[in-house]
Amino acid sequence: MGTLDTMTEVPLNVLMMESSERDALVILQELKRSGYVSHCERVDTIDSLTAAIPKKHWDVIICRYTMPRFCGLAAIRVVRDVGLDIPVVIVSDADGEETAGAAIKAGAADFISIREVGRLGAAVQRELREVRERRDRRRAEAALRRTEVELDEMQKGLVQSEKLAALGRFSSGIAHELKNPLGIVLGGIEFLEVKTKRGDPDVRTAVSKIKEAALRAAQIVDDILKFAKPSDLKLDLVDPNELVKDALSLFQYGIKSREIEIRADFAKESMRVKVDRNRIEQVLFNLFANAVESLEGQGSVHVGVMKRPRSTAFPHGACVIEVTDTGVGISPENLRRLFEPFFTTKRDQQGTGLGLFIAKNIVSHHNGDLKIESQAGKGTKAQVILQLAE
Amino acid sequence: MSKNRILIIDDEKDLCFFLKANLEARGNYVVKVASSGEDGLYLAERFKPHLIILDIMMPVMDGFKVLEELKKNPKTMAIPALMLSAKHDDESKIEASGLYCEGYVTKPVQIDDLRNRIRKILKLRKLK
Repeated sequence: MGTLDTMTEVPLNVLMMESSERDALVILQELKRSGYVSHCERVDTIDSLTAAIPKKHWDVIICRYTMPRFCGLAAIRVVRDVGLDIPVVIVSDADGEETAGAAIKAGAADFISIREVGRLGAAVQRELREVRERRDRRRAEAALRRTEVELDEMQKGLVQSEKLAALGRFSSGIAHELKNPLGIVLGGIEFLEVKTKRGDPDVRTAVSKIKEAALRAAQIVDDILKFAKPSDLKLDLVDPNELVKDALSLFQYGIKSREIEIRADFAKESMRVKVDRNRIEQVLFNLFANAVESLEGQGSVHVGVMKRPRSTAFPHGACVIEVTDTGVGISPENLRRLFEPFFTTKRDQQGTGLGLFIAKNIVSHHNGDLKIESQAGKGTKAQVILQLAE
Repeated sequence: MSKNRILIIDDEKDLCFFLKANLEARGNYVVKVASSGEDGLYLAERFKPHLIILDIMMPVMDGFKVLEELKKNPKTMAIPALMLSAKHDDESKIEASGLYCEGYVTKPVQIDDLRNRIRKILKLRKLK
């Protein structure tokens, strides 16, 4: 039978394309008989249909197959073009199989001859169910896609941290092996310094330049050894607000220029992160120093501590420490290479190009993330994202 | 003023050569070198150094073992030891301090830094 399973009245928003007042009434009566309370708007041109569609959430469009000014297939096209999932039920005087086939092929939900209008209630009920199912499926698929993306990111993160750990062990081994020969080089230079004290000034200049280079190499070796290895972390439960306050006051103590203003906003919520305080301070120092340097003497730096809700990557929620500056910014080419080891734009200022590389490693070893966004000429925003403690 | 005697125990012979030359050229020291732990223990008794500079990573007998033996021997236990190592990790430093070494410097070290450390240790030793 063309009735609902239960006879409770169900509200139904119906957009009807019907030029005949009488047939429209027949359709509405049939819907009422099937248990629907219809809120119906009747249109009879393509323009009025197009205008009516966005007005409200329509449950169903019931459309006459042929009308004086257009045919039902055009209505199907309009709905399809809008991209909304609204079933279009075609009602026709004729009941030819060919016509029905054409309508279904064009995307009609059903094709009902006016003579068998008693079938309309069941058809609408079925279509509403299918719309619901399609909507639920779409939501599930979207959620699945989101989870897949998050899982993919987590997997990439795991692979990355494994790679970093291996790279850390490898680099640490190399750095150790370099220390003895470097010791000999430096010792040799210092030996020559004494031996050439009263010698040729050119030789003395050469010796001094070699010494500079050897000390620089020693600095790089030291930086490589700062590479955080997970086993090296001394984890403590720390309040991120306190951590940032301490790092900031230590850092400000060392700033030469009083022109530079560093503002800070702290999280109102109480938070705890399990971190190696010294290592994270090292990261923050690096970010503060980069921000201040980028100002080139004028502008401001803002430091913020915020709480971020739970997510797949951070199941206990996260703490975000944000360092924003109004400095010179970073060009897109440089931004892409920012975390590469030995990439530096400060070669002339004794930059080793390991600061951000190490900072990123340290944060990664805390299962966190370090992100940097920048616009050349406008400024840079760096975010340290740390997992909250359970 | 008599010169302070320093014993370097390190298997890196070239490093020792320059350390000895630089310390003797820039400080009031007489330096002897041992290139193994065993030789180091032998020289520590005979040469009676005022201070021992000791490497950690050495074959056969490492620096920790040498330090342990030095501190067990009544003839050498009072000699201050300064560890000079490529090992930078905290564990090594803690282990060394547990064995009563007087200082820890990581390689490569600049001669002036090393001289400062030596001077401080010897000064402290005299005060004691």
